[in-house]
Amino acid sequence: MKLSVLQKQEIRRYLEEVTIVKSNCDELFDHIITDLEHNASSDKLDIEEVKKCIDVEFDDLINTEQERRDFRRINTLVGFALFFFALIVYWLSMEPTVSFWDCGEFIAAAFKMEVGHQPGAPIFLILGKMFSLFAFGETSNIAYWVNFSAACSSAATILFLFWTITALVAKAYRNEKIKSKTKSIIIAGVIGALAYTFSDTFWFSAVEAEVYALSSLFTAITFWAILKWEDAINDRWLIFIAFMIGLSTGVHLLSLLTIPAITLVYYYRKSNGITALGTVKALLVGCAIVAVVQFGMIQYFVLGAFKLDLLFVNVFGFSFGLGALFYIVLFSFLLFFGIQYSIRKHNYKLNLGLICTAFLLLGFSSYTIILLRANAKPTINLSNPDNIYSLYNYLGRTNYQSTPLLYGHTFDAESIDNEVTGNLYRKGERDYEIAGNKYKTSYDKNLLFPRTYSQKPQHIDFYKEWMGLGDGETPTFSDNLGFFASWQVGVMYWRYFLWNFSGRQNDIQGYGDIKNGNWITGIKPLDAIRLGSQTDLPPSIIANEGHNVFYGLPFLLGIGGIFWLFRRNKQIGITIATLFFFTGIAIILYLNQDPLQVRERDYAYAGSFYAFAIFIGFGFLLVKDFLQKNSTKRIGLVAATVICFFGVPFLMGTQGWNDHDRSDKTTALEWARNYLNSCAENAILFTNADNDTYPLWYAQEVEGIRTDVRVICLQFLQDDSFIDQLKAKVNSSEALPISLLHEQYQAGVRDFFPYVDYGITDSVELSDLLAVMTSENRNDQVQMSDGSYMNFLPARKLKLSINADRLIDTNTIRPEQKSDVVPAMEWSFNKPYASKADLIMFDILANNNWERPVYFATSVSEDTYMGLDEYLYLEGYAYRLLPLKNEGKEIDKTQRTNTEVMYSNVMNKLDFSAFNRAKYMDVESRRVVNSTWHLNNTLANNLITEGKTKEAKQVMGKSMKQLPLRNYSIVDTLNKLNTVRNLYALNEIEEANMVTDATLDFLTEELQYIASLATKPQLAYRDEVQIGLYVLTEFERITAGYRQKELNEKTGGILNRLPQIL
Amino acid sequence: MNSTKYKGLLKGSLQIIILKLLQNNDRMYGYEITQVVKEITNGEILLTEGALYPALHKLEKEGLLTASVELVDNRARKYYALSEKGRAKVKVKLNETKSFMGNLALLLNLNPKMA
Repeated sequence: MKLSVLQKQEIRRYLEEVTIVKSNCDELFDHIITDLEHNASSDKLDIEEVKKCIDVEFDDLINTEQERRDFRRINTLVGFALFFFALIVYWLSMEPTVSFWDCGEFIAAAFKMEVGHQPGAPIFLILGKMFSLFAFGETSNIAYWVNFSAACSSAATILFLFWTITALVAKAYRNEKIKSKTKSIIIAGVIGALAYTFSDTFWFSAVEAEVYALSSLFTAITFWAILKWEDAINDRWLIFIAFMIGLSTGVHLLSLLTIPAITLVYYYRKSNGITALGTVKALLVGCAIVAVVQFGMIQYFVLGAFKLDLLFVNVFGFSFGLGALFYIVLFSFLLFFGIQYSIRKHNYKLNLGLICTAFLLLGFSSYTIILLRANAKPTINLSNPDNIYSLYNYLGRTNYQSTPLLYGHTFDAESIDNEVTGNLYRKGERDYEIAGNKYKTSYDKNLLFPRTYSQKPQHIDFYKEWMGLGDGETPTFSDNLGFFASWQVGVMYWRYFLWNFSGRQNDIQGYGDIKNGNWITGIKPLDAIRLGSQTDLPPSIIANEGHNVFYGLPFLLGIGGIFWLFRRNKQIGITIATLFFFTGIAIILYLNQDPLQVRERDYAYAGSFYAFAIFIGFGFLLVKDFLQKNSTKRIGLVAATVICFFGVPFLMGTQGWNDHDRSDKTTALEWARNYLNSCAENAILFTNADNDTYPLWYAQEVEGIRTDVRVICLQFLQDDSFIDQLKAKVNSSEALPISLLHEQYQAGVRDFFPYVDYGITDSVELSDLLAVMTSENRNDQVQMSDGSYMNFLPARKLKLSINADRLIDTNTIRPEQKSDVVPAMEWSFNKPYASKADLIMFDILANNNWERPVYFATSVSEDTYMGLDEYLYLEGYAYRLLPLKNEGKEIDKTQRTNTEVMYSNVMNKLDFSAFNRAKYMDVESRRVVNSTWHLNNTLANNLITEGKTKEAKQVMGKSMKQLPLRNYSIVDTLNKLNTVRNLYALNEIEEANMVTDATLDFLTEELQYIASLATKPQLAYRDEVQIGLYVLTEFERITAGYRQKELNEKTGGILNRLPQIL
Repeated sequence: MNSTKYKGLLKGSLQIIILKLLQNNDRMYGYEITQVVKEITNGEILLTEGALYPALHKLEKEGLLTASVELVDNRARKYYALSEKGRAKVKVKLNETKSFMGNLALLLNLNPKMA
């Protein structure tokens, strides 16, 4: 019989669908048609019958519809099972309330849709807001639900990781029958996805309210989407990717770094002849797209809108925003007509490109939320991006210093020229006003690829020590490269990478020494090469929850995966390697971080650990192939599964659990509450960002705790919009007494005041100083080299006259303290110049007239106290400014208490019970415990001195009950000295002995370990040895003084043994 | 007769059957091979396509066969022929098979004539 064209087409289509190796299609088609033409007897051809026949006869050559459906079903099911598994893991270990660092700011900003720090994260805010609704108005549950959004995003990331791995493995096996490979594909996916579930860095941000979880999800979806596109070449996926990338800019720019890997997948799929040169070209195109999105869209597109607005407002006299609106409308029309044109001309590529651009911009449009919310003037409104110009600066992170990348100065370079490169603007009453100049500084010593540029004194010292440079030596190009390789890449990337896949020494921040935060293998002889002897490790390492030992197994499995891929399918290998590079080392190249960061930065590189987890999935195949060669297929598969599962995800999960379990941790919330409760009613509290600000914002904004206190973060006090906020009522805190008008401190006005020595010997009254600093009279100003006039700081010795009765009226002091009041507070302001922030602080001090109590955080840097140190008194976590005499005693402010008030605060207002409730005390919580011990010991000591033994006993009693005593490091034992001293002094002998004994045991183990080290590693512990020996000697003295014979002999014994070996 | 009758036995001998057929014919395509086998064995042996094509592709990959594509009836038809290497190999393989089958007959105590 003869087949019709239609029938043939249908058979052909079916074959193309099912044939595993596409090149076999022709041959099979020929076979079937020939067979049918020869044999089919009936005139009517049943196509379904033919299809069934194909399924049976060509079994080995095709994946039948049913087989593929089965695979898809199990792939979907296992994916969702993993999603729920990961969700449960993260939900169980999730922090139930606010965490340290930026989380407090993010939760508050999400809950009230406020404007957080640059460059903002509108999509995160929307998602956080949605989740916060599940709290149903119970404000203490808001943080829980925003944290849960991160847990969900992270679990979804695991889901997409699984699908990504299975898609890639299936691709590597594309010439084989899917049915025969289903198990291998699924298990590879499970191993890789679970390894990432339990990886240190990813787990950390999965259980707190940070943007990194959601950012990871966007990375995962984007990369998965290009594999979907590849599978069916359906260009709608490209549009989807463009939209995802657009949206991801509203979370974190990290997700853009998937683009080079995406272009590579595109190139490999579309190109006919794949070459090395083509691969490089595809990568360059990928980089170009990243640049276009990051700079073109996020910055220049917005800058363009500002330029047009500038024209409309300043030249045509329209109102603000009209030009920007016109710009957006114009752009939308251009896109619209462009798309219409492409349809008319049947230009597919132009059409696709324009539609992608439209969706990219649609995603990016989430930033209009920032603009809208800044205009609503919420409590948190950092940099106030309420117009197109400030939005441009907000997006461009202009508050952060820019770092040189290709060519720039060295740390010891001197600036030789400041070239004006453009104008700075501010939004005035009617038009944009020029607020100053943008400068480009040139230097005398420069290098290509500068990596050692920071000129901060502590950084300079670090550079010199790390590179072994003497004073006056300039880094050469090779010193510079060495620093890049050993510090920036070695310590600040590979160390983090290996924490995740090899093991981690402890959770204490590492600064490149052998003592803390190193990566380890857990194989002692190997670790000993880098870190000194690993036998009999001391409690500071072995008992530390962050001490995680994976024996390098996840790392080896990943390397195995790379090996397998580069033998079997180089293209997949190169694609994943590209993802790995751009989400890891490329960030290191771009950030060009200065040393001594305030915290560990591993979270920024989670994307590259994601890529490595894909390699781990492939590693399973290597193990499986090897075992199957040496046994049967079945046994090999089972054995490989068991080995990989227990050797990698199981090991990672069990080792990592105790340092990721934050389920009972409420220390950040309690810290914030205690901080605010340390302050009297209506206090003004000066803080210095991060951990002493964000948790406090959270407590006030979300839970409504002590909203009468005005928290002023000094880092933002330079910003005129922040000062505007201080002049308005916020929550229950009235406007601050600031006399300056907006024009007097607006952007570009009085940004800083040079100190000009006028030879004034007497102290200058603060109000007089303010008058001079705000004077518009040229006689009160100095002329600068460019001819302009500016205000200056004429004196450094300052004073504020005090009316003692006023202090009593305002309850600043008790009447009996009147005799201690100084007639005037006198101090010297020793900074090289005064900033706008200083001016505002002067203004507040001069005009507050003791109406509101003024406090300074205890943890801010020394120069923020402005030289007022001798008038600062501890009343809890904060110093109170009190114009009291110090009776000529030279006491450091950290030992000076407003004893009666602080006693009442500690006993009645502060609650330290959260520390003992937390299963895991992270580094920040431990820092708080140490400072709390310090404060309480100081208070008890001062109470004893003042003869208030009963009160001192109560303070020590509460501390012993609520504050953990565990020593995490030798430094922690310093606090124990004062604890023990107080306890003995209060005749609490039993407790004193208990603390002494425990600390002795700890120190013995630590010092014995140090003593067992070879000379060189031992030198790294110089400080620890000194502290340890000091504490021991003091213990010996104290126990002798209090006649504790047994402990005294024990201490003596330890001391006798130690010096010989140290 | 059903084609699964010799399934296990056929597996090892598929290669030599293909090679031998191609020794006698200049070039053949897949369907043709199945038909010839069927004809010679009076329908006793039916090659499954699912086994034939992978065997052909394997021999091609090993360089024993060369393939050429021709348009027949408006569709591509893939012909296979012995390569130089294949021609040499057939002889060796045939001898190997012959001696193996002799031994097999002895082992199984079959009538030697049947071999």
